[in-house]
Order: sequence, then structure tokens, then C-alpha cells
Amino acid sequence: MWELLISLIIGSTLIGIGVHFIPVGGAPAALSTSAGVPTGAPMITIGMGITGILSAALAIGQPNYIIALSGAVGSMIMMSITMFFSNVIHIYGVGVPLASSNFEKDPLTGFEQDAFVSPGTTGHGIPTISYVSGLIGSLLGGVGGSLAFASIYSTFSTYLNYSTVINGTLATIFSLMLFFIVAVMASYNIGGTIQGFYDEKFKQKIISGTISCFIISVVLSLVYVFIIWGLIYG
Amino acid sequence: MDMLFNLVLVALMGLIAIIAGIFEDLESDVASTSNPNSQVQLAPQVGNLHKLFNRAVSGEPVLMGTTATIAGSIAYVLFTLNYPVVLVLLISALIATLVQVILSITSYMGRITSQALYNQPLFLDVLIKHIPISAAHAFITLFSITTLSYIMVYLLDPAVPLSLPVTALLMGISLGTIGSAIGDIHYGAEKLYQNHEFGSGIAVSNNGNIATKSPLGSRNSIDVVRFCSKFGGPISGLCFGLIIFLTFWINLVFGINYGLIAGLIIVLLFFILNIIIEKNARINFGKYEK
Repeated sequence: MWELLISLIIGSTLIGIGVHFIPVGGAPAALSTSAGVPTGAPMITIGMGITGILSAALAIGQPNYIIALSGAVGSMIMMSITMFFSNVIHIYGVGVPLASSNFEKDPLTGFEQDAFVSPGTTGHGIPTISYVSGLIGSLLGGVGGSLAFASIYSTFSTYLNYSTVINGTLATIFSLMLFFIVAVMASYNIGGTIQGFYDEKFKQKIISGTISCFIISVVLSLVYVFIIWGLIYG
Repeated sequence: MDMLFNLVLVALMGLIAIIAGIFEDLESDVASTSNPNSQVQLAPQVGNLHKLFNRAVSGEPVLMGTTATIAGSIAYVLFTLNYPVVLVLLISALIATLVQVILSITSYMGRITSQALYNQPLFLDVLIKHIPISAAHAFITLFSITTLSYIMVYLLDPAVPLSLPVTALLMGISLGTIGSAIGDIHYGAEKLYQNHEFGSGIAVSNNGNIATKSPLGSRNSIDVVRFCSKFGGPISGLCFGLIIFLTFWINLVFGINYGLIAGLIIVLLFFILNIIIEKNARINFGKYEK
């Protein structure tokens, strides 16, 4: 049970930190009014986490670290393809270049930002540095989610005599709930839009975000351990 | 032979996922569900009365997840009663669509009546014309998701070790996220604001100032879905199809361990493609004049 508790705390803290890395524009981004992924932070995190959990479920039977890595790669694939096609719509559907006024220059490509931001907006699309940040976020979120999945699954398969499908299903529901709670918590901390780790806002928010995510993770993990303990011994 | 059968199944899953993605995004456009709905909601408050459909009670992923889970659960029950597969898939999608219809009607009426303060009328013809079309789109989406989950749980070898309702939930939420993160832009930034110049983002000062007139009469959400079916919908479908196909394909062809490396290579490939289109866009569009 200690192992489960520690895995859950690490897993959900990683999810919480990962949310901060994802460039999120919310509803304004769907109007090309602000840069980032055009949906809410919890929504994109949950969507990404789910693909990770599905990949992790496919790797059931492997060692725990392979399951965690599998989930991370699944999440990264989902995030990279989604951000790419989001940019495709921005460029070919709306006719705007990818730029954000949250930073002056993209450190990776060296592209100037402000001149390419349409007047009256704070940017559109996901510039390269935000794209990289999104990938880091999906890596952390994917590892966190599938670590939680793997630890819950292995606890169930050790202590309960259910079939693989029942254990897998229970573990999926439990780990999915982590995303719902932690992602909403982290998005309250972000409060609107963020453009990844190169954004000034990230530096202001990440420390308080990490601490609050850790605290909520501890509380949440304790509740989880009680529920799972009850399922096994109750 | 097993490998070949699995590969065919994975390709089929990709294809079904493409269809699900296209119709999910178009359903959200015709019923005006997702992020751009804020503008449809705002329009009467800034004096733009409209005949667009207006429905949003939750985020697109949650709505899609809910209806997909209902379809998946009904299918699961009917499978245990040994009904024929095609019949089960059809009935489950149909019942979940009924839930979507009830949600759409009540949600539209609630939303519009809440705007009586701004003199926005509740048009019964909008309700009557839009509901069958959004229901048709929802039915195809739910049928595709249930079929996709069925293939994953019962046909694929090794199968996904999850039960059918939970797999449908995962697919539904994932699809909703993608429809919301991709297709919405074409609806929100382009179709709703066709009265503004092409090639720029929507300034905050223009929020709510949406196009309410079409070449002939008032614009409705059926015009919107026709427009979005040319680009936004297919791209959302392609994205969801690619994600489902690649997630399973790398595991099937390369195995779990080498699949991780293959996955990372795919991520890198999309990253490079992204830089290329970003660079090309900057060269083609140029800077904005202040």
C-alpha cells in the first residue's frame, strides 16, 4: 500500500506540473484571439491523458516502467498530432501565421513574434517553443497518468482475484479521475491562457502550482488508498 | 495470418475513427456546442439577433464522453443477451442519439429564453430544422465510436483489456477533445466572422459581432455545417484517425519496446512538419501592418 500511495502522489503531481506546460488558449484561441490550444486546460489534459492510459492498457503485463513510458509516448503522439492539425487549420483555414505576443522571439526558430500578431489579438496558433512545451507537458502528464494506472492495476492484480479486464477497467476509471481533479485544480492556478514554459506567466505560476498540486495529490492519494484498501479488505 | 488480420482491423479502426472525427466536429458545429458558442451567446447582448442554433451545457469532450458511454453501456448489455452485432451497434447508437436530442432541445430552449432580456426570440423553425440534422450527425458519430470500441475490445488480438463502456468513454472524451481543439477554429475564427477580413485573428473589440446574414436571408447553423464540412470537419477526422491508427499500429508492428522508439520518431516527424508549415506561413503571409 505504501508503494501505491507514493506512486499515486508522484503520478498526480506530475500530471499537475504537466498541465502548466501545455500551451492553452481556451475559447479565445478558437477565434484566433489568443495563441495556444483552442480548448480549456482540463479538457486537453484529460484528452491527452486518456490516450496515454489507452496506450498504457495495451502494455499491461510488461514491467511498470514500460507501462509508464508507453503511456507517455501515447500522450505525446496525441498531443503532437493535435497541435499540428490545430496549426494547419489556423494557417490554411483562417489564414494567420503562428505567433504569440507573450514573448518577443521564439528561442528555437528565432522567429520574430509581435509583427506577425494581428492587431487587437494576443496571438494565434502554437509557435514552435509552445509546441515543445506542449510535448513536455504531455510527457509529464502521460508518465504521471500511466504511473498511477500501473500502480493501481498491479495492486488489484496482486490482491484481488478478478480478471484482467475488470482490473484494467477499475484502474482506468481510478486513474482517469485523477486527471479530472488535478487538471481542474491546475487550470485554476493558470487562470486563463498560458503559452508554455517560455511564457513569463509560467515562471510566476509554476512554484505555487507545483506546491498546490503536491498537496492535492497527497490528499487525493490518501482517499484513493482508503478506497482501494476497502475494496481489498472491506 | 493473425498479424495480417490485425493490420486490416487497425486500418479499419483508423478509417472508422476518421468518419467519427468528421461527424463529431460537424455535429458540434451544427448544434453550436463548443468554444465558439461563447460568441453566439454574446451576440444578442451586443445587439446582433440571430437564427443560429445555440446549445452548450458542458464542454464538447464531456458531452461526447457521456453519450458515448451511454451507447457503450447499452451495447454491452445487449451483447451479454446475445443479440446480433449489427443490431446491437445500431440500437445502442440510436438510444444514445435520443439522449442527445433531448439535451439539444432543452438546452436550446433554456439558452435562448435566458436571453429574453436582449430581445432574442426563440425560433421554433430553427429548433425543428436543426434537431434532425444534429441528431443525424450524432448518430453517425456514436455508431462509429461504438463500432470502434467493439473492434478494440472483442475483435483485436491482443484486445484492449478494458470493458466496452469504459473503452467507449475513453474514445468519446478523446474525440471530443480533438473536435474541440481543431475543428472549432474553422467555425469560430472563420465562419462566425465572415463579415471580417480574411487572414487575421478576431480582435477582442469585435467579440459578439458575428455574421448573422447569409446571401439569402438569415444565416443558420446549417450554412455553418456546410462550410465547415469542407475543411474543419475532415481535418478533425484525419487527426483522430491518425491518432487511433498510429497508437495501435506501432504496437502491432514494432512490439511494445520498439514501439516506444517508433512513437518518439513519429512525434519528432510531426514536430519537424510543424516548423515547416510555420516557416512557410510566415513567408507567404508576411507581417501585419499596424
